[in-house]
Amino acid sequence: MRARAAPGRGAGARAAGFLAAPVGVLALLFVGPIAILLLMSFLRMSIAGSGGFTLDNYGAILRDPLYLRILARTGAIATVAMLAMLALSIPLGYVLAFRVGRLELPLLLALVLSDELNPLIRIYSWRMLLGRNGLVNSALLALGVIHRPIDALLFSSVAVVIVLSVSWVPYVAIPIYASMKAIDPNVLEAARDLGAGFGTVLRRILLPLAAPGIFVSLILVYIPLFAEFATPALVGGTSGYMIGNVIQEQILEVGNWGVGSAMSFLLLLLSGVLAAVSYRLSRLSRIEAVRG
Amino acid sequence: MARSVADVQGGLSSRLAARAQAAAADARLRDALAALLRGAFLAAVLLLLYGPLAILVVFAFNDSIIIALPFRGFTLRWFGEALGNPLVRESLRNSLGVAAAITPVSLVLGTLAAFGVTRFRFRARGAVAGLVAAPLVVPWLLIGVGALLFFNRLHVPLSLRTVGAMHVVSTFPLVAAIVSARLVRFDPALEEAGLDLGASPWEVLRLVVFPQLAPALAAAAIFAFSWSFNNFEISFFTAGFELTFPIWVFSTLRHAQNLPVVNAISTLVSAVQVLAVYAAWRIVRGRPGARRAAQVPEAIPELIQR
Amino acid sequence: MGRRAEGTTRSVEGAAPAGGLEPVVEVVEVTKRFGEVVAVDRVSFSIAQGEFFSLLGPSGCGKTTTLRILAGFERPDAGRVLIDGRDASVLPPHRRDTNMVFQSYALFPHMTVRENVAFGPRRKERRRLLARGEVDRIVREALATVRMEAFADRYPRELSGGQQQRVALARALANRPRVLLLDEPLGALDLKLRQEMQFELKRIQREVGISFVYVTHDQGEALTMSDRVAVMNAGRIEHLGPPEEVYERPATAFVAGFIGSANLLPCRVAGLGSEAAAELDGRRLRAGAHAPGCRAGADALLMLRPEHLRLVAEEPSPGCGLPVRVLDRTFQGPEVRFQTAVEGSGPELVVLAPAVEAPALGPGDRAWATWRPERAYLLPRD
Repeated sequence: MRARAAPGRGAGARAAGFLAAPVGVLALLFVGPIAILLLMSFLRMSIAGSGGFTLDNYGAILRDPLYLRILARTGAIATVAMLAMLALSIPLGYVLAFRVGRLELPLLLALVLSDELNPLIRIYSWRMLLGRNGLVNSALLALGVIHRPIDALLFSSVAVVIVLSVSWVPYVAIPIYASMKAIDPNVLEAARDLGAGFGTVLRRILLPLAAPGIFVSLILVYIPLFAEFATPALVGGTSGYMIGNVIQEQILEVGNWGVGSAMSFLLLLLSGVLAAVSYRLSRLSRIEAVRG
Repeated sequence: MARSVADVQGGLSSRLAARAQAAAADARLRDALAALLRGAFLAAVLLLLYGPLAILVVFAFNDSIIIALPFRGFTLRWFGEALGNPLVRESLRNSLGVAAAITPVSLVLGTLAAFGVTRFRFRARGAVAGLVAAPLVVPWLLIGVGALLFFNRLHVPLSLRTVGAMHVVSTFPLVAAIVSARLVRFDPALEEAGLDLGASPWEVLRLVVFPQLAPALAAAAIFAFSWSFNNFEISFFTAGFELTFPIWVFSTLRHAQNLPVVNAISTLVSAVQVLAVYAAWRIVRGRPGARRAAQVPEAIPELIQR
Repeated sequence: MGRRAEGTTRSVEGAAPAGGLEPVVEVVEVTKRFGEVVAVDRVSFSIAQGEFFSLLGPSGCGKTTTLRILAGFERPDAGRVLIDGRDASVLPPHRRDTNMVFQSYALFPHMTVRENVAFGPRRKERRRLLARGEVDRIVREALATVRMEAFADRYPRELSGGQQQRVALARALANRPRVLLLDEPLGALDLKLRQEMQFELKRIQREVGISFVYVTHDQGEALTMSDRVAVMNAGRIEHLGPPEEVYERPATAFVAGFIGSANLLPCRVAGLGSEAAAELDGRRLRAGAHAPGCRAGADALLMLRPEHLRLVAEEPSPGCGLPVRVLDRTFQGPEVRFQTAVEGSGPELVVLAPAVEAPALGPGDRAWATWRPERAYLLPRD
């Protein structure tokens, strides 16, 4: 039952009473920084100081093959991690929503709780595991599966993908679980009753109806993945270097705020585009679900 | 040899029965296998999520400076070292302080925003709702970098205050989402009943609406507090020379090997976090509105879809 | 405008309640629009002290809006509401002397039954309108009236629908309003419970002596419980009067069709007043009375209620019979239902006969439908 929203005359004014503070804070501390980011990206930065409009910052980025390579690698890492999380979360969401009975709430709690962990602690714990002398290698060596420790497990893109996946998986699994929860289990039974095998049920019923959750998780996760820098800094080494690291380096270490802010703004644009696309797709998928 | 019809029929039905039994046994076997698979899958997921932490905890007690097998003996000295480290103590104090300070502010702003957007229909409503939701969609790195440049421009020195300010901006939208989700499901008849029975609009807010909101507010408070404590990206750019706990961990690990001191303090912090959230969950579950609070995680994606 | 205006006039005439005392509530030409839609159209009526008054009509007829205007949740665009002679139109709900029982009960989930019922009295206590110890006494009395004392410390979610409804009633009564407003309170209950609660509500109303304004779409409920019924359609009151009158002498075809079932035969007015008659298929049929909107020679409807008709083999005396052919026969327990059609012009006629007396007629059989002339009633046709 929706709460009755007061319409009509004066509604805007009354709402303003409530919204003045939140909107004010956002205007100052959210819109402000982004505006400055944009502004800075067009500023000529030199040793003598800053000033003057220029497109050089953007030029420097877009023409440098190194940056483009890093961007491509960032995209690859983000995409692989996203796919891995989806591959894990869809069955997880299904099992949690339909197949665990009384364990549903405790398991859900366990999922939510894992996100409470300080992310740096989590990254660190994986760094412990993945190193040359780490436990994964020790275990595999002991089991005789390998004869030399796998170096690529740490300070590599692989490590980044693994750690990112494990860190963000609750944000993917929970929306998917939620949208599966909204599916009437009778629908699945009816499908099976009509002779559909598991593959068919998956393709034509589960996935379409869980699509809203999938799109929400895309918005919540895929975009932030592009901007990650703590994980690659701690476990990525040089081959796991991502755009976020470049930005951090430019801003805090090199001091080239022009380029740093230009890169940030480009990333922001990318995020915006991805968000808009996901949003549009999610709307479409809902219309399809209703119509189909 | 003559066989009666009954015999033939009996033989046929027993063959059918046998086949049915075999099919049933097959189905049971399939079900058992499926259950086994499910169990293994869930166990694997839990292992992935909590395994590394468990191992981290184990090595916090290991009497060796190197974090590798074999396990050399039980010791508590890393805990002593961690707690004795002035930087550790300072960073923990700062993180807790900031989290405690921003939570009430975030709750107030988020609740105001939720009321403003859900209770009034006005032309700019969609835009305002979008603005409030925007910080949730923009990556923290970008918010952090932007904030750094912004404060620099305004000649505001970086400190725990700037960290706190940005934490507020980043958390109150989700408080707003949680509270909105609850408000939207609110039965308007309850408020009308309150008015009808003689309560003034303010009394209705106080006596009817807020008690119903309490579980959502509690959940939001827990969220805001732990988000602030755990946050790294934004704090990193806006703290200047101040230390928060995640910043300390990052700096320590950035250019150093794995250190048991980090294991020790991580164990303590994680233990407190888990206990705190669990305790809060139990408290919230005990109140009448608990069912609603449990629906909060589902409400979030729903709300974001609006 | 013709008939409709007459209908409205008639309801204003019928709006004076029996009893002669000052009306508790007076609604005067109240109108409410939502955008383009006129939800309540110049509605007027008044309610006497201790009267059980029902607003009856289909969904969307404006009855709930009218009730909410009485309660103060909607402001009328025109007209006034007077409570005890004073203009209450500008008073917000928490200052009016009315209380409402909501369709969804609207019990505060975070309070016990006792706290729910005490809510209103406590507000009064705060405003110094009640003495200190009074609240507990009032709560106890209210709970006793609805027989829910044993549940005082339970929470609403621990109660069944019927129990919640009684608590909602107690909560409203505890405030001693001048008039109690009920918005389809029995809608969510199952049939048996509904019937029980109808008696309970009537008993409580008599015991407490407060005027009730009861909104429902269930005509059986309205007829059973009310002293007077206002039948609403499309924002207007089409008929206001005691249950028997609304049933036997409805003002319009809509009311005739909405209350009970009725055969409405298209005809022409052949006579008015004491000579009321209809002309149908060349026959002149006598009628006992006619609605005010009827004019000589105009198109009309002859209303015959199925239970007033009998099927006989021989032609009855002229003026109160029609030849029919049986189409279908259905056993319905206490009655048998005959679906018939008038020979010739063909309108269908439903006859309801008590099972003990039902003739042994089946599909295809011919017979005469007959009735006592005073049971026939003429209505204007739109």
